[in-house]
Amino acid sequence: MHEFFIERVKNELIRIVGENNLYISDFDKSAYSVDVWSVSRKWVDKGLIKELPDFVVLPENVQQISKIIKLANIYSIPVITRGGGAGGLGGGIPFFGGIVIDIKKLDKIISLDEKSLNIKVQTGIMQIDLEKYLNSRGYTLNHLPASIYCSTLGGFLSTRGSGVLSSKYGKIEDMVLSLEVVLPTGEIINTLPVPRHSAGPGIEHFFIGAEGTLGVIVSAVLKIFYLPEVRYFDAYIFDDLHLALEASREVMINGLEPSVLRVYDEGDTRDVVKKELGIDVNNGSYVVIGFDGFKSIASAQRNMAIKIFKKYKARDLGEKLGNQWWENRYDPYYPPHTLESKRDLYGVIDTITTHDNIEKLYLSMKKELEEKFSDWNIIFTAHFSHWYTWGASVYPRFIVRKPPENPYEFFRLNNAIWDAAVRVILENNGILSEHHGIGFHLSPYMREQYKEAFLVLEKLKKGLDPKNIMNPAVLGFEL
Amino acid sequence: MYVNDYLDTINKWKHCPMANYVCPVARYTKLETNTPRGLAFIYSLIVDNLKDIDEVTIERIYQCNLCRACEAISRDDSSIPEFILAARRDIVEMKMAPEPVIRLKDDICNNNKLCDMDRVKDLASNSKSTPETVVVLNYESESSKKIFSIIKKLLAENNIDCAEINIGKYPAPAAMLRELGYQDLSSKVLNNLTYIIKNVKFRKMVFITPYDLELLLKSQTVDIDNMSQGLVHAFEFLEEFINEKVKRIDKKKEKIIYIDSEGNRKSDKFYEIPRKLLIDVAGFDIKEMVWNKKESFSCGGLTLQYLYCDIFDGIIKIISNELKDYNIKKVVTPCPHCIENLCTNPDLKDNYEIIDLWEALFTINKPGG
Repeated sequence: MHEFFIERVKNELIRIVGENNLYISDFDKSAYSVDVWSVSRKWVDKGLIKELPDFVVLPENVQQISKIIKLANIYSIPVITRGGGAGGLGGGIPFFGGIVIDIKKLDKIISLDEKSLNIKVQTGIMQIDLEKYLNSRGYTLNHLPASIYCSTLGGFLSTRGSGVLSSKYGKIEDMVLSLEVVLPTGEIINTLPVPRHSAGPGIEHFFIGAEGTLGVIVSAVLKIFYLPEVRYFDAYIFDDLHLALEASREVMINGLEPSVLRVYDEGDTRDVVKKELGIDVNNGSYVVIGFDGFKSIASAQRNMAIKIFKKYKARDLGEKLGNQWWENRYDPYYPPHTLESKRDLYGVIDTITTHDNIEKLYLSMKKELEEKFSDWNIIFTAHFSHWYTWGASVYPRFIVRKPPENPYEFFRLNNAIWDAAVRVILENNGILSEHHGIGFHLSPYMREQYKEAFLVLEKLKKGLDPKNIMNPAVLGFEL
Repeated sequence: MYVNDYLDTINKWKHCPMANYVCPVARYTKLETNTPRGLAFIYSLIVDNLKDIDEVTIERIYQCNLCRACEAISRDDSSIPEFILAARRDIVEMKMAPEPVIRLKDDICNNNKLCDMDRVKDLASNSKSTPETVVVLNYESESSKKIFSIIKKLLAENNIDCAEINIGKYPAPAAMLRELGYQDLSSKVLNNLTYIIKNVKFRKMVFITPYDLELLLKSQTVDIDNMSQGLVHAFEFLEEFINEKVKRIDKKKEKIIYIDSEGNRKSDKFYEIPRKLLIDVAGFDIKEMVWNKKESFSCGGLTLQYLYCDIFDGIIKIISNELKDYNIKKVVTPCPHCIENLCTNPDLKDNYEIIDLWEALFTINKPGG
């Protein structure tokens, strides 16, 4: 952008948000040019940082966001909305410069309805703050992802996030009653107050998972729950992954509603469960299953699940190890366990499919990556952590301990591994992402994923965002 | 560059957002470059020679209030605050310290007797203490004055001689100068403090705030080994005193909100003492602030209020807002400096009774000893 032009937009932004909420120094902008996507981190580590926003703004209210977007339309400037900067696929990186709207000053709790059990809250709130607020009043959102400490509610809504209790309480989209959204042309709209109706499509779903391409979600009404009377967590070890998956499927299709159901493959059992969570297991497939709610109901569900697990020859490791998982569940996300702190090339792929495809998808991906990248001694492990009556998510991760030093070779290898993994997903009726979103990284695969149906997304995008200014680098939209 | 000793810390933190939410500065400004991750990130650009240090980076480095909340929740032993201290030393040595930092440094040096050896010698020679005297190392403030008067009264009731050494305007000059990046001046203060310790007679020397005591005990350069037993933090002294001398304190059974002191961290040996006294000895019904114990937080730190008062005010406002949730009007925090910080907010000052540990134990319902 020409500096005269920058100056003009800068002055207009100052009029909207005030000088104190506008940041234009290189250092401040640099910090908004990277998120948790491993590739963007490596760019920085290798000294290749290039993509800077032109402006970083921290608006204090919805009207300011509306005005910023109207301004961006006038000058055709890209707008990237950012929350905690914890996206794992480059969805918040300002590839084309423009205005980064950091939404974290919109962090107010607007109302708590204790009769209908819902909360209206601005989306810049850190999820941990929302959860603490609710807990102190005897409630919970039951959305407890590993990134609860570093992500905003808006981030979760924009990527259709899942928490560790999703097998019972659903994903974030299942918790939404209604949304307030600033459209790509600056108008402020509210969706219908409840999500279950037959008055046309639920338009809130146009914005959930849209990664900021169809507007800025500025507040949400979310359903909340009472804190449970009990939480049970039990740990089991199965002889192999196949038995663990079958037993878990049976628990789900029988409607036992576990709050937690995590199945670790043999590799993850060794690497994550033992090394990172400190749980002493060696072989087989480790499973944690949890139930919560009223004691009598949770106990009955738990007993039914135990019967099923026993049928598949599961060895009961006890409640202590189950609780240990619950207590340590976020540890793998802190240094020294995080993979980036070890300078590896790594990736966490996150897909979902129906029960009939799960094992096939997993085995195909494992075979493909281990064979194709054997020269790099690739390590492939996975766990299965978000379960539904009809299927489950597969959460594979790959690690290359000695990646190429040359940054371009590093990126080429990374892309080749991801491409091979995504091919397996698409060939096996998998979906590109269960809860991490698409971001920039998976954008090229969206058309292949949706086939003809992508037209619907494209028409929505063109209709709502005619100047294509809203986060233009993600979800595979035309540039 | 001192910061070169912390390259590993910078590398570990520059991509890790897990501690961002506990940073009180970032909770107020919401700005990425105020977070632990953001600070490590921008400094990584400097140490990797991708960018030159500039005014904005220096500002961000000085906006950290060194409360160590990020360190408190970290799973590993790398420390962002230590990296910040090293970066500030570099900035000072490069003669790039911002104007407010230089002003505060000068003010500390001019208004604290420990910064000047002649005044230190005066302090030592004017002391009329004996080997049985409890000497309180105090500073000039309303709340520390109040604490001293309570200590004096309690000791007098027990026929113990008490004396005060008033060091001047600021509570902990060595720690403050270190925070600002003036390590040499900080070391000088510690040496001067050592002179006092060696030349004043005392049974116990009580430090009203923990910062300089902590530095002194960790210091490699000062030799006080044989004296260190007599140097105590106020909480330790109080606990010992109550155990030995105070026979009974009326049980208050009153609800109070307890705010962790910024200087009293969970890793410190005296972390639990104030709560123990408030609950077990005085019978208060304590409601812990949401961040106590697990995450730490800060009332605003030692120097931030003088450097970036808007951020400092913002942090206090956050605390004020969170206090509203508890529906309790009495707030106890064990450090007099924290009380002064909290009382800068009119909303807090007018609507809450903010008291320190000593007042809570001995003034509210009168000492029962």
